Amino acid sequence: MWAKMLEYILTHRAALLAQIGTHLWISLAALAAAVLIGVPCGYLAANSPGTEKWISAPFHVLRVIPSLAILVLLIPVAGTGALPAVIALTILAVPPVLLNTIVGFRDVPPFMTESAAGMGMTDKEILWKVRIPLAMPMIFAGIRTALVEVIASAALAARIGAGGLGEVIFTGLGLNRMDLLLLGGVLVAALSLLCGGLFDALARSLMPYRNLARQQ
Amino acid sequence: MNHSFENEGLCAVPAIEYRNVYKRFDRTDGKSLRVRRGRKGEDKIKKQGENSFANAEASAGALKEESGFFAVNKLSAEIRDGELITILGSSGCGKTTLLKMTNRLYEPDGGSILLFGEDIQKQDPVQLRRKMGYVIQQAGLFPHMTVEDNISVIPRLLRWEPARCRDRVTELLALVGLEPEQYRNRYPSQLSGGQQQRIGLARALATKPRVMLLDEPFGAVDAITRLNLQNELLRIHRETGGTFLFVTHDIHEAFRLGNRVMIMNGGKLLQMDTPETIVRKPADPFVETLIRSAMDQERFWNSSITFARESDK
Repeated sequence: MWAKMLEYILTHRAALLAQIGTHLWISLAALAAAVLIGVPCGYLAANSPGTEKWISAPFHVLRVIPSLAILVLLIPVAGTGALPAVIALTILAVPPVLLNTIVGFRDVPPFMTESAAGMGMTDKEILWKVRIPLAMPMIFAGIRTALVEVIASAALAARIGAGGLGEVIFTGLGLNRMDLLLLGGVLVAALSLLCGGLFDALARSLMPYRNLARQQ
Repeated sequence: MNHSFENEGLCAVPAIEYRNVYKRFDRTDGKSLRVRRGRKGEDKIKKQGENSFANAEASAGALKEESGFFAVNKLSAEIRDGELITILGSSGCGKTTLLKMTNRLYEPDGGSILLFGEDIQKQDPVQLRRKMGYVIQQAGLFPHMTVEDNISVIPRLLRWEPARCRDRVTELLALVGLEPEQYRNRYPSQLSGGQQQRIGLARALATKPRVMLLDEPFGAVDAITRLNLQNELLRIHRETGGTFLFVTHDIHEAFRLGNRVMIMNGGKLLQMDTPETIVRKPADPFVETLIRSAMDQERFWNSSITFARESDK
């Protein structure tokens, strides 16, 4: 089986690379959309507790529906291809980003903002120099969760013709070829782990103070 | 220990003057107060509980009363330029509220506060606060900034030259007794509680404010560190010559540091005088009780020492 997998990789190298590319592209587009929706909504919800349930409830409802069902339901609206796939994955990715953004802003200690205000910072300065940086680790954790989830779920996108590594898996299913199934699965998992690792490295370099032990 | 300023004649205008200031909170349920400041710094107390900018003392007091209570009740006082005033009182007495009204984190409901003769209500709150240093118990250092960046936050917002910021940081670190090159690039999480307070103090002093507001700055450090910090504070006060307002609930701290002490209870100013006069002539039964409790403690220590010596023999 390993030999067959290796042979497939060698013969279909170009196709595989393209599939990985599509997979990444769909995933990252969905993630970007989720960040663009989730972070501002989370900020709004954190600022006025009254609006929180109105903002987060729709996403919680949508998230319960399996991604595959959303994909099929989207066909009449958005057709097939990459667009419905990105929409479905965005719906999947918003809740972790949104929730972590809310928690991130909520968890900024009141004494910290008060201290900043007492020093003579304007509300805008407090937001950009204190609240956002302090909420950042939490927001990043949410984005990371969403990233891994989206890459794993993007395999389903092949079902509606969006391409990506899902094609390998579904081909394997169709032809009853264990080697292709395994190859597709392993590649998706590896891609997911790799992106998670890269993201962690990015977070570490952006927030060096997070990894400091106290040294005297 | 006498470091009082003989400058009544020198500067006729008081540094800070409170005229019949009062502040009423009318929250009655358990949720804490939510105070939001607009750009103009007006505080809006909202009903929401979470994420509040709350004054724990005020909410504790709010629980006690049926509807509304005065955190600060018709308080008048004059603080002369260069004085180190300690404000002493137990939790909920309004001392923190008074301090926060001084830099407009809270707005009074009535009365007026004058800073060097000018009504602070007529000044832009952000500009006003930049003229005052503000230190809180938790130090409030920003964890994502180095010591250097923390201290130079306001200078950088004021667009000082980088070199001037750096020099000022060096100067301030030396002033608060920390080796500049050793500490400037550290993050707050790499500092002890006492060191964090020193940085908090340095940050508040960055723009050479004439008035410093200190809200129980040494409340969360151990006794020995606190003693060191108190000595440093006295030295810094001597060296900078500013007007310091120091809130504390520790009677020993209040009497040791203040060249005058304001004793507050239930939002009212009970007595404001030099430590010596307060001890000799307490103006109020509450003040008497306070002093007696401190003396009782003293007696406990003295008797323990005698006891220890006896048993050593």
